[in-house]
Amino acid sequence: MLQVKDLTASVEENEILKKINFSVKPGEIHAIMGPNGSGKSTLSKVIAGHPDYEVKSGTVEFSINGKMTDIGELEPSDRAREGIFLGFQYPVEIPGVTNINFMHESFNALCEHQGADTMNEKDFREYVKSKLPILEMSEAFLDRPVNEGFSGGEKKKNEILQMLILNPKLALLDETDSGLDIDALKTVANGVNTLKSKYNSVVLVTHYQRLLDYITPDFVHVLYNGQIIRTGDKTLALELEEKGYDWLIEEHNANS
Amino acid sequence: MQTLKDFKENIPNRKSESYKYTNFTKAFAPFESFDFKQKDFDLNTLKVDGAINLFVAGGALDETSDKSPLVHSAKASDEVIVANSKAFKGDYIFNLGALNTIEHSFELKDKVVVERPIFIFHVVSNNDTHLFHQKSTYKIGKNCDLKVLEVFINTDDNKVFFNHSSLVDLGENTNFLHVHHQRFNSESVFGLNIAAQVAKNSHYKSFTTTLGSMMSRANIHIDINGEGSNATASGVYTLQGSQHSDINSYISHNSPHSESHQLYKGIMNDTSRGVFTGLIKVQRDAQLVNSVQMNRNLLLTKGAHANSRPQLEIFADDVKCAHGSTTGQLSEAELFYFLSRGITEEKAKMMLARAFTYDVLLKIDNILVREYLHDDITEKFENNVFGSLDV
Repeated sequence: MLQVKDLTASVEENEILKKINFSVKPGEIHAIMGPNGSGKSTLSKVIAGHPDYEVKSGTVEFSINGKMTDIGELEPSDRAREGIFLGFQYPVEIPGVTNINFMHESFNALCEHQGADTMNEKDFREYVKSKLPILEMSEAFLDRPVNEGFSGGEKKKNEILQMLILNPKLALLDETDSGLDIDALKTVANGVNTLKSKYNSVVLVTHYQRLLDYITPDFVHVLYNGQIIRTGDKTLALELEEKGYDWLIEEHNANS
Repeated sequence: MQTLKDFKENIPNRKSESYKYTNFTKAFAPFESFDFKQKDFDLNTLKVDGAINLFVAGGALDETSDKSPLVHSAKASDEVIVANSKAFKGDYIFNLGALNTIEHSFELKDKVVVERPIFIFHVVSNNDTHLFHQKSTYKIGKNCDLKVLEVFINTDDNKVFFNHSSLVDLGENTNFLHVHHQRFNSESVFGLNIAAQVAKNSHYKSFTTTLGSMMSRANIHIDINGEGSNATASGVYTLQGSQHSDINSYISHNSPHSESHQLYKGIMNDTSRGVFTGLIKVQRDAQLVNSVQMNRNLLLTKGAHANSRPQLEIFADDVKCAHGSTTGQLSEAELFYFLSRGITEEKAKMMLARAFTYDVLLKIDNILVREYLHDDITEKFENNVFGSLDV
């Protein structure tokens, strides 16, 4: 579904990612961990097509109509229409646009592109309402401006709500767990687990292991200095929790 | 007797501080005659269901107009209007004794609550380029509630110069929503003068839109003369091409315990320019005044300009006044948020531009009026700038 090959990317001539390789199959959950400044957030943004980042070399391939396709030239909105979702670490506030209107535009844009029927306002509201209990959100959130005046936890829940509504093939969740208290963390994890199916894949970018207590990853990648220095299963995350990143970094430095 | 030559000599230009960014001299070149002659146009096509529709065409109130609680009379005059009279600070933008002026007088008796909004269409349909001078006086009684939308519209591509003045005298304990909505074609020139006197416990709500015309200037002068009175002055200018809009507001608190709120927002595309100058004046004895003034501008292109001058003159010592101004572009972060959700760049920009004017349109507390403006902004501005998008 997703194949990242030798991906090197920079922002303002600073190389952030250096020859990254990894691939995600349908139904898999991958966790990308690493210390601050390792390039974790950059990786998800580059895959989503953020204009601030320049791909210097390598490719990102994504399954479009069952065929792996280089998406390097696709606009971010086209990537979203093909089923890539980016959950933001810091979701922006959009005064003057209601949450439901924003989601409705987005949902119909995806439907149109994928050849599905669009929904009218009334049906869409019912559809969204059916997802609210999963995230313990009230209907009042739908009529407020996007993220405006939301607490940190509410913003993150709102991201996961959008994800559930759009039902993406690939969800890239950038530090969705940061700033959440334990109850909100469980709620958000519940939302992510709801998406999980044999067709939907998730890439979790996270700094801490604690989210992985509630979402079980199939693979854990450790990113350091723009490179994946170790890939393992969920036990790797537990090891990191216990020992920190230093031992891995030292090992990596000794080998290179 | 005034002549066209006198008129031209009195055209404001940049020598005056108040016209620092706006020079009308060039705009006059193509306008050579004064005339109110109309050609045939079916006014009924402009009618809005749910409103009381009045048509002012060719200088008269057209007979197809709906019945209205406003008592109307009109007279043509070529008398010299005395500027700087005690009641009103200047009758027209262009300080002159106008030729062939038409004066409309609208009166509302005491204790009349008009539920439906009154739409007054000032219609220009003419074969030539022409100058129009028109004055409307509103004398509104005590304990009234009135909502008026004045639409300035021409029905063809001919240039028009329209010089309009609204003089408002508000009785005590009265609410008046007064919207001036200008949607002339992009060749036209518009001068708008609003002068309002607000009595005790009354609320005057002025709203102006600049949607059309090559060049326009609006002077909004409100005198707050009684305790417990309130003025709201707000508006929106959405400009494209090489349009130039200049708003000059002046709110004078002449009495204590009064309030005023101003919010003007502009969106500029292409090489257009939006100018705002606002002054809150609090007179010496006007204690316990609460006044806010804000101007915000959104530039969609590198070639677009905004000039903003918020000003305060306070002579009382126990007042609460705030003013401010911002000018910026669409936020890249907000734009990317839309893109990441599959919304195209054009639609994202359109939604963000619409969101920008959302709060100021809410100042119009009548849904029929607000929707009329919203639809016009969509048709004449958004569809041109962002393409026809279904939102």
